[in-house]
Amino acid sequence: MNDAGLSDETLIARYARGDAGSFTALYRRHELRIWRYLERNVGSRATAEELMQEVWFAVARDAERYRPSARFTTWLFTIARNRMVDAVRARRAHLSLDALGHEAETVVERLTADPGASPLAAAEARDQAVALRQALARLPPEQRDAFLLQLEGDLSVEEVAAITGVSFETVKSRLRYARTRLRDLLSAYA
Amino acid sequence: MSTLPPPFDRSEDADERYRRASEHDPSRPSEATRRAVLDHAARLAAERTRRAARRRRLMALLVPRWRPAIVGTLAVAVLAGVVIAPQFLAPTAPSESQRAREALPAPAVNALATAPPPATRPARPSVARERARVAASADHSDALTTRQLEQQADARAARAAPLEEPVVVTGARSLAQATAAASRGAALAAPVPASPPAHVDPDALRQAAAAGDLTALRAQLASGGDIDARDAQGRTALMLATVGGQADAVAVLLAHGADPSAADAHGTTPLGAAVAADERAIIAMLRRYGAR
Repeated sequence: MNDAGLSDETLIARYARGDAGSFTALYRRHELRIWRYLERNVGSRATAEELMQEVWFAVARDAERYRPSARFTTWLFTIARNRMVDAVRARRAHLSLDALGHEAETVVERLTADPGASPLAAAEARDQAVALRQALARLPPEQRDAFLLQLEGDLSVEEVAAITGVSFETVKSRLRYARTRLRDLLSAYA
Repeated sequence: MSTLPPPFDRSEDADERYRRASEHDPSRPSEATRRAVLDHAARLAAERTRRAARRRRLMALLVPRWRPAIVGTLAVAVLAGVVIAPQFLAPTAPSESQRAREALPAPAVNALATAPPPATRPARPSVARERARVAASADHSDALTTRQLEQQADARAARAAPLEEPVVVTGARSLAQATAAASRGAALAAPVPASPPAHVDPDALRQAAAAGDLTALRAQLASGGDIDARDAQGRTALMLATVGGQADAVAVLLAHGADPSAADAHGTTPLGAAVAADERAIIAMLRRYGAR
């Protein structure tokens, strides 16, 4: 069955009726976005793997309760953020620079192991990946969270405000500071 | 990855830089995580499919079997409503005994069904009753008219209990009197003696009414004589029972069809006499029976 043209809301409704293929389509469509949101926020691959499972388990379990009053992505990223906040509180997983730096080295190893990449391209990609991770790690957590929700979740300022439980103006302010800081930090790698 | 990623340009905005850097970030969740998520979702989907199939089978079993029972029950309920409802809705004329019961307070009515036949009690003289007797028997030119007597009694009742309706028995004395009279007056529901007296005596009927002798009163009524027979002054048994304050005798007579408005030779009605004597229980009964 070709699920490519179906909306997220249709797919989750079909999965709630027992169509496992619809869930697979949904997962593949949003896997990378959720993964980046989680991993870049918590800075730990192991924690991100656990959270990834918890988030998608929750989506599968609560599919019958989903009501299309909000976009599926808003619902999905709300689940992801709630799980992440719970995990940070429970496990004292702080968003440390050390953890991010360590993970960056792991990324570099995978990049250099890519047999299709030329040495120069691999080196440039490694630099950019490391730069991005280090820049994100230097953002205050609330600015990073708002920025990743908007960029990875493709959410509006209003939706970010609703998910994070702060005002519209606060979210706008966080996003503005985050962008300014990122531009400055990433410019160093130009 | 064979193409060289472009370096960051200082003029690009942060979003664009983020997206370009992300394109070259190969980080992905592990295959084990992906497998665990999709397997879990597939198990839940299979479970939902099984549950839905069970629900469908259950409905398929239950609905055809219960549908006739549900439809039949509803049809019977509707039919019963159609047959029974008119019996409750159609107006019916109350019987005499019902009217007598309605004239009494609820505790008295309850007592009617169980109370033993009452013993007679002697007439209880009172100042008010003496006044009524005088009003009923004295020369008409000297006595107060019925209307004046009623007005005076109503004024007294209004002073005593201005918020209560005049037909309602008010005050502890009158309520107790009415209740006691009703409980004694089980003659309303008691069977009339099977054997009538040897001869019918209208005087005996009036005497029994005046004295409140319910046994004798029932015996006289059973004889079939004229219940509204009058004495020399035109007074019926009901008038004499009223003047004597015999509320239970009044109730029996009214229940047996006595004329509630039969005036004496001077034009005094039982209601006028009861108002003059301030016999509130009797006033209420008489008004209930349409006395004027």
